[in-house]
Amino acid sequence: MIKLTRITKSFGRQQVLKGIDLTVQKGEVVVILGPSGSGKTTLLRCVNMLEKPNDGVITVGDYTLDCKRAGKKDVYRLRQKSAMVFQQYNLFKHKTALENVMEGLVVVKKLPKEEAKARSIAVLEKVGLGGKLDAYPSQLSGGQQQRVGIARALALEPEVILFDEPTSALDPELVGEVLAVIRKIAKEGITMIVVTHEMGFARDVANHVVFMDGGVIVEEGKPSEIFNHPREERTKQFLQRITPELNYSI
Amino acid sequence: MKIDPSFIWTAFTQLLPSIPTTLAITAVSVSCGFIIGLIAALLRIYKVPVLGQIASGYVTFIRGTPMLTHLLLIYFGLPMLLGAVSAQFGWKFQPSSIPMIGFAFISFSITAGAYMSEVIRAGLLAVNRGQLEAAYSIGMTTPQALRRIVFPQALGASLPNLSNSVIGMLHGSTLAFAVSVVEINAKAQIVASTNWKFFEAYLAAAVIFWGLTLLIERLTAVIEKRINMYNRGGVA
Amino acid sequence: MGAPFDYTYIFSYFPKLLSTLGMTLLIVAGSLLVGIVVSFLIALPRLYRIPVLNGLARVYVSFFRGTPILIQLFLFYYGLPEILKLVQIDMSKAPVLVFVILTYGLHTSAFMSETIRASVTAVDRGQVEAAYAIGMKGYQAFSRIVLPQALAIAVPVFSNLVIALLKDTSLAFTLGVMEMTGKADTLGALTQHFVEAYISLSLIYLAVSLTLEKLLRIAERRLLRHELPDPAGQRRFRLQRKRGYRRLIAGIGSGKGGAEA
Repeated sequence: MIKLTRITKSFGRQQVLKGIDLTVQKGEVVVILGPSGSGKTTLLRCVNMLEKPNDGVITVGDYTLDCKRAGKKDVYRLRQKSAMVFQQYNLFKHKTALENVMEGLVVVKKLPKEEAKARSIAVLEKVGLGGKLDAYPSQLSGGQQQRVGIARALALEPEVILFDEPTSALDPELVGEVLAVIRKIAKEGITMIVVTHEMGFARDVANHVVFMDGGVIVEEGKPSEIFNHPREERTKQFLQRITPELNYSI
Repeated sequence: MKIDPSFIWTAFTQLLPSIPTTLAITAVSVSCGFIIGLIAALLRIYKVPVLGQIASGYVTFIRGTPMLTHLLLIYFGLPMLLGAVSAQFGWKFQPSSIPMIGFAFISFSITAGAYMSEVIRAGLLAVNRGQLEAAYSIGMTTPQALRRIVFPQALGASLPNLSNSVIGMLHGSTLAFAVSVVEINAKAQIVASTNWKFFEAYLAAAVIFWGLTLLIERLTAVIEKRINMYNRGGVA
Repeated sequence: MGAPFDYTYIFSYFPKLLSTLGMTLLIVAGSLLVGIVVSFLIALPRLYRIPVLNGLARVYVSFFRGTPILIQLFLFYYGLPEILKLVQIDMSKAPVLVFVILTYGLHTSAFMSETIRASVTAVDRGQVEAAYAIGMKGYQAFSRIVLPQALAIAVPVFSNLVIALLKDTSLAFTLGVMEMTGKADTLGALTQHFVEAYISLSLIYLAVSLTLEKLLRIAERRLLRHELPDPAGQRRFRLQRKRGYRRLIAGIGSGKGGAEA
């Protein structure tokens, strides 16, 4: 279970997160929607402390951390509970696909090399890249790179995987293969928090949809509720603007 | 031998008159070097047959050997060569009539040319090919496109390297002592040995060079700001 | 001005000059060793912005990059014993070679520290974040992810610095160290065949430079395997341009592009 309590974050004078509360149940897929600048990516990056919140409490699995009093060691422990898939993939450029996936298992989880290798190969096969083990990131397409990124996260068997707009840097024809992989692992009951602009995906895969704007959660609920019967005016406007074909008058 | 702080100032004032010589060597070698470098760079980029290869060989040789050897080769070799040629054609040219500083000018220009050629080439290659195509698309000729579109952008891109080359030539001018040209370094040697105060004299020389270098860096920063106007703003 | 040109001298000088190549390479290797150690000491305070030390490191770099190596050689040779005498260290009996290696080492360290700094800064921020995201600690992220990538970016510049150092050693003879240039000088004066001596000298320098360059390029290839789009390296031209551009936008030049000695 993931629980965020009263998370606030400012960049200089600008407050980006204004006291966010959010609970994610085990096995849930939560999709965070919102216009750019709404704070959704910042919120996601707070969950693994890539951004340090100014205040608030974060619980991931059995580990709880008070942001104000978090030392280096606490941050490392928290990070071991989660994994992240980045918008720009951020694969380690000097390591092969296999090495990218193994890196965390060997260095952080301290698995023996052979075991790490076996597990990594299995995960890469799962994302359909069993044939690209020795390819460097520069030799892979964007979609393939992102699937390695997903494998890298998946191999760690974290409590939650954080997806930061995983398809928005991809060419349109490559979006499908990545979404298919995310869909597949969602069905396996892995907890996920996904920031995305893919409305169709949010509708199909999410158990829970959160709409953010101006640093607060405006509205949250089941996808059918949010997409079909949004209560808040801001949500309606956003959905109309971004998905005219998904108008709630179905 | 004790350190005499007051002599640093004395040495400093004695070195000042030789600054123009240092600057003259630097200025001549940089400007002639730039022209040589530009020609060599274009010959190589456009892969001009024979001349392109000669330019490559020239750059490789100069960059692979110390600047001091260039100076010594010119100093000893050029009069020999000119003497042989003028004897052949019956000219009345006397190689010994070349002033000492002339050797420094010629040799350092040749050195600078090779380094500049690399800087200019990198700058030209850094300009996006699309820029050239866009220039062609509105009907510009190659010289127009080069002069109006490519060179200005290349200049902006290579300015830091050009500035380093200028500083390199400024520092390199100290080698002129080898052909008895009295620039700052040679003057420091004279001041040092006549007063038997080596450390103080060279410290004064170092301060002058340091100041000149900082000045060049500052100037570069100002020019860079003006040239790279178009590069500012936007999300990188 | 000397005896008439006789090219046979060029060949007869080769073995004589090569006998002092060892001294030249000793200076290069010794200075590199000093330079690498000192450059890390200089780069770290700058990367981590440690107050006071950061400022000192900047002045250090500015001084060694802002003054000619020739002046530095004299300055250290005459000045260091004086300064160390103040703290009761007697250097009057130290061999000249010590001063020479120390000066070249400090000189090159200023350039190297800038290279290290720029290369580390040039590694994409996302790489560090990805390392943190899988749970790595700060030093793990630095040593396993940032450093190898920074190294690959730095090698070509480093290679230029090594060759610049080699060429700079031609000035060591001004302090009386008998390395190759000094030897050529002596040979020329002895036989009055100066031009031949210097041609011979240049050719040896050229051969050593090209060899060093080749060796370092092999090292670079190995470090940059991950950027080779196809193993055969057929697209080398494009790759080089791309890398060159990356170094350019990262603002990394050796700073030694100009001609020193």
